Amino acid sequence: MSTVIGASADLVLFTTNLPGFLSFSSPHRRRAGPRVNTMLQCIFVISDSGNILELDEFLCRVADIISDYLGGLNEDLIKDNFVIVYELLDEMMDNGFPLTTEPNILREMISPPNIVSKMLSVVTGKSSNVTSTLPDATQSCVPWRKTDVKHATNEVYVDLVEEMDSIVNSDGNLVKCEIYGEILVNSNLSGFPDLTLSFMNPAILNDTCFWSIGRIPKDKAPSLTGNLTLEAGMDSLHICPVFQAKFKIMGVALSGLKIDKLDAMNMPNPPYKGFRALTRSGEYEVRS
Amino acid sequence: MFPQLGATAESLSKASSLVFRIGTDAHLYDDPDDVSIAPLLDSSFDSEKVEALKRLLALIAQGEDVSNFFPQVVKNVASPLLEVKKLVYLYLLHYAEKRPNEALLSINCFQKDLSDPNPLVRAWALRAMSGIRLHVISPLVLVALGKCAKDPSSYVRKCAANALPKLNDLHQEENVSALEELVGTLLNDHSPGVVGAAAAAFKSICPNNLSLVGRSFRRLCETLPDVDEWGQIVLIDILLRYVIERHGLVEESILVSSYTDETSYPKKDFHSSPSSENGLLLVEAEPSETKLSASMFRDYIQGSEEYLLKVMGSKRGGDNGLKTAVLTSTGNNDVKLLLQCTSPLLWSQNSSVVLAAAGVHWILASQMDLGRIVKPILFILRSSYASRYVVLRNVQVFTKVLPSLFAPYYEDFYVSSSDSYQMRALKLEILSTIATDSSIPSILQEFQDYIKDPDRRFAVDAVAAIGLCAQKRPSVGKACLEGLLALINQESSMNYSGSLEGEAGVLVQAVMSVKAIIKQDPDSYEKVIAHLLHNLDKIKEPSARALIIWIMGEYNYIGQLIPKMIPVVLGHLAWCFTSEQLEAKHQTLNTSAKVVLHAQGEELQHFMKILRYIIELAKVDLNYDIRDRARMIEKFLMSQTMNYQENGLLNVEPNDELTNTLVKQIICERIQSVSYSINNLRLYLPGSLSHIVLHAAPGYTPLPKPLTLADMALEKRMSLDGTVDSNSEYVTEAGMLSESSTNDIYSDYDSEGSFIGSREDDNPGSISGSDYDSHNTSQAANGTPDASETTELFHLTDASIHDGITSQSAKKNNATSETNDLASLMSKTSLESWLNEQPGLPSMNPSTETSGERSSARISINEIGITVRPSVHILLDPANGNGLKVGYLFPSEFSNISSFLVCVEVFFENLSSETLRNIIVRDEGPRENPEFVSQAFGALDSGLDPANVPTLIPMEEIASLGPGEVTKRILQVRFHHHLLPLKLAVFCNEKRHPVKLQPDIGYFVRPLSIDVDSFTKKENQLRGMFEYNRRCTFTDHIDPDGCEKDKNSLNDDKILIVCQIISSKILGNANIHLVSVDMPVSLKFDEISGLCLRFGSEILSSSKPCLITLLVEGKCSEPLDISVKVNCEETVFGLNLLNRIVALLSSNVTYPFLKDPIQAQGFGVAGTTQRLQSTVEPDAAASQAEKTKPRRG
Repeated sequence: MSTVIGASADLVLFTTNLPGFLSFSSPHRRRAGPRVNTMLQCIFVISDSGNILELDEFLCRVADIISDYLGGLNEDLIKDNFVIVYELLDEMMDNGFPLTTEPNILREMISPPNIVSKMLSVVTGKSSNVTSTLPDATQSCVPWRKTDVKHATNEVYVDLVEEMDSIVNSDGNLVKCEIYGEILVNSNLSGFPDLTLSFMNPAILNDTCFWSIGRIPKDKAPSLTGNLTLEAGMDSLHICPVFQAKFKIMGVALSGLKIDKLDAMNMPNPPYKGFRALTRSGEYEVRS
Repeated sequence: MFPQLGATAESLSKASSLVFRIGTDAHLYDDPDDVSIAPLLDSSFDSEKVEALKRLLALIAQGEDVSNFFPQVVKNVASPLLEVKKLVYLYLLHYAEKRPNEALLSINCFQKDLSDPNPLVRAWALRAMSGIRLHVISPLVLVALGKCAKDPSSYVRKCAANALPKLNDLHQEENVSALEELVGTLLNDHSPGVVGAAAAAFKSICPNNLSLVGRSFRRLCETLPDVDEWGQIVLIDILLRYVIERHGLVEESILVSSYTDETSYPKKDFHSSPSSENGLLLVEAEPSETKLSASMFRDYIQGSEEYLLKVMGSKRGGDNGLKTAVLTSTGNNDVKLLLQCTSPLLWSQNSSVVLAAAGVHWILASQMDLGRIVKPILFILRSSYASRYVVLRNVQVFTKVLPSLFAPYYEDFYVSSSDSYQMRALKLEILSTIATDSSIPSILQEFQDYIKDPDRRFAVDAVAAIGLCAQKRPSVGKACLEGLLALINQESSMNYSGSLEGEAGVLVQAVMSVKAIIKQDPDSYEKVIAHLLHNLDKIKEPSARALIIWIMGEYNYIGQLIPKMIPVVLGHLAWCFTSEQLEAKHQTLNTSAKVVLHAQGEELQHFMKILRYIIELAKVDLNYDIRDRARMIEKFLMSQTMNYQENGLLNVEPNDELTNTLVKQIICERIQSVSYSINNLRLYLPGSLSHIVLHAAPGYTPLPKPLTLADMALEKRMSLDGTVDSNSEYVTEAGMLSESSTNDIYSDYDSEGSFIGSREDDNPGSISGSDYDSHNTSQAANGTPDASETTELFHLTDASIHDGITSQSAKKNNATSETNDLASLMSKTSLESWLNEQPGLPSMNPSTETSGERSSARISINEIGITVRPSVHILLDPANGNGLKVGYLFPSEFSNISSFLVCVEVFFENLSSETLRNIIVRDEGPRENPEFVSQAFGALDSGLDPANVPTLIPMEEIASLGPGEVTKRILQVRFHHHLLPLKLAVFCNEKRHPVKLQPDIGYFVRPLSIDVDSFTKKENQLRGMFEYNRRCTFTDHIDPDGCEKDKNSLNDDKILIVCQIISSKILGNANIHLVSVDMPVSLKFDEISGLCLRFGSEILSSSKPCLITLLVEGKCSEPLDISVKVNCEETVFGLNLLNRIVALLSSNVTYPFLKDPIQAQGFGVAGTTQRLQSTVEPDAAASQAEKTKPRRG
C-alpha cells in the first residue's frame, strides 16, 4: 500500500495566488500526527512573517473540512473528487487569507458529494455542486447556523465526552491526571432557540471556554492493573518503554460532572432532551 | 490457507471502491484527455462545458500546461451557469499572468457580472478580476473595488476588502492612497466580517498608517469579539500597535517594570512591585534574566536604543515629566479597553487567537493581570501537534522572563510519549526554568523517569536538565549529585556492545552535569571528586574519562583527600597513557602539567618524573597534536624546573614570574561550557513566525516606536464625523463639510466611473468652482500629496457657458456619461472580433503594423512649432472690469517651482483713461457653493482628496497701471488635473471682479522630445487598456481661406500643407512635441491616406509619457478622416486629452494665430457638444482592426 502511494510524487498542486499557496503532496512524511492520520502533507508557503499558529490552524481546518466532505483524507479520495477540493479551497482562501471557513456555509455553497447526487449525476449526466445563491449565514452574525432551520423532530441530545490524560510512573504513582471534556450537542431544533446548559457541580471545572477542562484528585482516578512479562532470557530492561492504555467507559463522566438541566427558550414546544456520557482514554501512559 | 478467498476479498474491495467512484469525477482525473477538449468547450450544452473544464482542471492538477485553451475557456466566462463560471475563474487565475492579452478580454464580462443582482456572482467576479494581476487593468479594478466596497451585501464587501492587497501587490504607486482610503472605509464597515478582512488589508497595504485606526479605535475594540477568527488575529495586532504608538508603553507591564527595576536597582530582587495575584513563590532574578528582559525590551520595539536611554534617563534623573511622557498606565482608557476586549478572546476556539490575545496582555497588561493568560495558554497546548510546538516556544520565552507565571502548572509540561523530540527538549527547558523549591522534588523525580526513555537523545537532555536544576537550586544540589553519581555508576557498569548510539552520551552528560555542579562550589564537593577518581577505571568512554581527568587537574589542590589520591591516579594514568584515546591523552597531559604547577617540595619531584615520562611518551605519539602539545609543555615547564634543580629552590625572577603566569593562563585555561543560551538570541514578538525560526523573516516588524503618532492630527481627526475626514485646514475654511459629505454616499453611486463633470454658471445655489472631495483620509497624516495626486480622476469640463441650466440637466449629463463608463473601453464587440481570430495569434496593434510595412517617407517640420503662437483667452472684459482688460495664455514654458504647477501668462491692459491701482488676481475657491459640489461630484470624488482642489500661487500685486499700459504676470496654478474653470477674482481699485480661468489639458503636459524608435517602443509598452482611439473629421484645410492660399502657392505640396495645418493647430493648443510625420508615397497627387503624425508629451505632475498619434485618411480636397490614438498610463488623463484633441480637430476654428477671442469661445462650444454626443467609440479598436486587414493584404 505504502509503495503505491510513494510512487507518485505530487498529488495535487493548488496555487491560489501569491502569497498564499497551498499544496497537497504525498507522502514523505515520517511521523504522521494522529490528527491527520493519512499519508498527506499540507504545505502552506508564505512570503513573509505571519502569525504561524494561524497558518497551522487554517491547515487543520482545511484538512477537517475536506475529510468531512469526502469522508476521509487520502490521495485516492482527493483524486476522485478533485473538482470539489479545488472549489472548496478557492472558497476557503482568497489571496492567501481565509475567506469562508465555516463548515455550514461551505456546505451550502458547495454541496458535498452524496449518494443521491452521485446517482443523479449518473442518471441524468449532469450535476452541479455549486449553489447559485449566497447563503444567508454569510450575512448574519451567527455564521454557524442557517437562518431558517426546520427539523421534523423536536429533539436535542447532549453528549458529555471526557478524555482522560494521565501519566503513571514506574512506581505506579499517578504523576499527572487531567480530564478534557467536550460537550457535543446534536440538535434537531427548528428556528433560532436559545439553549442554556447548567451543571450541578460547576465548581469542578477549572477552565472553561467553548470546551472545558476538569482536574480530578489523584485518589479518585480509575485504577488499572496488569502484568508485564518479559521474554525468557532478559533480566531487566535498560530502556523502559512507555505503554499507552486505551479504554472506554460508557455512561460515566469520570470527572463527576453532572448536567443539571437544559433550558430551551424561544421555542414553541419543549423539545425531547437526551443525555449521554462517555469517558475514554486520551493519552493514558504507563511508564515501566 | 484459502488463497482464493483472499482473491475474492480483494476483488470485492476493488468492486466496492469502484462503486464509490461512480458519480465522482474520478474518470476525468484518470484520463483527462481521452476525448478532445476543444469541441466540448465550444459546445452549447452546459454539461459538456463543465466536463471540459473539469478535464482541464485535472490536467492542471497533474502539472500539465493547458494554457493553449485559454481563448476558448475565456469565452465561457459569460456563461450564466455558476459552476461553469467558477471553473473558468479557477482556470483563468491560473493562467492569466501567462496570457495577459487574452485575459484582458474577459474584463468586460467581469464588469457585467459586477452589476449582477446575485451577490455571489458579484463577489466571484470581483475576486477573479482582482486576482488577474495585470498592471493594465488596475485602474478598472480600483473602480470596481470602490463600487463593491459600498455593496449592500456584506459578503461582497468582504471580498472587496480581500481584494485590496491583491491590487497593492502590483506595487503601483498611484493606487496607494486610493487603496488606503478604501481600507479606511471598510474598517468603518458595520459588518464585523468586513472589518476583519479590512484589517488584513490594512496590514498589507498601510501597516504604519495607524492614524487610520485611531479614528475608530473604540468601535474596532467593541466589534473585536464579533469579527471572524482570522480577522481577530490581525485586528488584535493592529490595535496593539496603535495603542503603543499612541500612548506608549504601560508602566506596570512586565516589559517596562522589569527593565526599569533592573536598571535602577541592579542588586534588588526581581519583584519590587506587588507580586502576582496567585501569591506564587517569587523567584530571585538570575543575572541572565536581567539581560533577558532588557533584550526583550530592545528587541520588541523598533529603534529602541534611544528610547531606552530616555527611560533610563527618566528613571535615574527622577524626571517625572519625561517619564510620563513616554509611559502610560493601565488606567489609560484605550489600554483598558483593549485589554478588556481581548480578555474573552483568551478563551477562543482558535488557538492562534488565544496566543494573539495573550501577546497583547504580555505587552500591555500589568503583572497582576498577566495571570489571566496562563490557563488559556495551557489549554491550547492541546491543539494540533504543530501548534503545540509553537505554543511551547512562546511559553519558553514567557517563563524565561517571568518564571513565576507558570510555576504552579509544572505538571502540564511533563513529557508524554507522543511528544516529538523538539517538544520534549522545550518542555525540559521550561520545567527547569519554572522549578521552585516546592516543586523541584517532583520535577527531579520526573526527570529520573526521563533518563530511562527509549529516546537516548532525550535522556541526555534530561541529565543536562538535572544538572541545570541543581545549579539553580543549591538546596537540591546534593540530591542531584547523588542521583547523577548513581547514574554514572550504573552507566559505567553497563556493558554496551558499542552499537547503541547515544548511550555514551548519557554518561558523558552525567559527568558534565556533575562538573557543572562542582564548579559552583568546588570546596564542598571534594568527596564527589574523590568518588569520580575512584571510579575512573570503570569508565571506559573516552570523553567521560577525559572530563574526569580534567576535573582532577582543575581541582588537584582542593581539600585533603584529593592531593593524597593524585600521585596514585596520575601514576596510573601515566602507566596506561599509550592505551588511552586521544581526548584522554590530551587531558592527561594538561592535568599533569597543572599538577606540576601547583605542586611543591617533595611532591614536585615526583610529579616532574611522571610528567617527563608522559611527555616522552607523548612526543612519539602518532597524533601530531599530542606531539606538539607535549613539546610546548616541555618548553614551558622544563626550563623552570631546571632552574629549580640547580638552585635548590624555585627561582622566581621577575621575567620568570611573567612566564609563570603565562603558563598558568595557558594551561589552566577556563573551559567555557558551551550551552544553549537564550541571551545571545534576539527575541521576536510572541506568535510570530520569526520567533519560531529565530531570525527576522521578511515582513517582520517590531512594535512601533511608542508615542510617535502625531497627536495633533489625530485629535483633529477624531473630532470629525465618522464618515467625514478631511484635511483639517479645509474644514475650518470651508465650514460646510459635513453638509456636503453626508449625502453623497449612495446618491451618485452609479456614476462612479464617469469622468464628465458638468458645470453651471451664474446660479449661486449650484455653482461649482472646483472639484471637492470630502473623503480624504490619508493625505494629511502621510504627507504624501504627490503620491495621491497621481491617482485622481479627472473632470472634463464644459468650456461653454450655459446660462440657467438647472442642476437637473447636470444630473442628466451624469446619466449619459454612465454609458461611457471606463468599463466599456474593452467592449464586447472587440472581445468577439478577437475571438473570431485564430487563437494563439499574437494580437498586434494595427497602426504600428501598417506604418511598419508601408514604405513611408519621413519629414521634419520643426519650424511650425516656432511660428505657432498659443491662443489668447480673455479673463476679464474691459466692459466688466472698468476698463481693465485681462487676457491669458498658456505659455510653452513650465514652472520652475514644482512640476505640479502650470504657468499661465496673464496680460493686464488698461483701456481706461485713469490709472488703475492695486491689481491682483486671487483664488476664489469653491467655498460658496457647497451644495453643487456635493451633488455633482460627491460620488465621483469619493475616491479623491479634498486637498486636490486647484490652488493658485499668490501673485505679485501690480501697484499701478497707467492708461494704455500693458503688464504681464505669470500665474502659477496647481490644477490637479481638474478641467473645470477655476474661479478667480481680479481685484482692481479695491473692486472685485469674479472671473473664470479655463484650464486646458493641452498644457498639463510638457513636450517630450524623443525619436521615432523610442516613441514606438514606448507605444508598445502602453498597449491594451492604456490605448484610446477616436475618429473625427477634419475640415480646416478646405476652408475658403486655406484653399486660396493653396492656389496661390502651387509649388507647395498639398500634403505638406495639410500637415502644417494639422500640426500647427495641435501645437498651438497643446504644449507637446512633434516627433515625426510619416508621409505616404503615393502616385495620386491628391491622396493623403497614410499620413501619420506623432506627438510626444509627458504629464507635468507625474512625468508619465503621453503619446499621441494621428492617422489621416482621405483626399486633400475633401474632409479628412483622422483617427486619433493616445497612449497613456493614466487612463482618465489620456481619455481627456484624447477628447480635447478630437474636439480641437473637429472644431471649425481657423488658425489659432488669428487670435480671435470670439472664435476661441466658439471652439469651446463645439468641443462640448461633441463630447456630449459620444465620449468613446466603443468599437474603435475593432473597426480599426478590420480596416488594417485589407491593407496588409
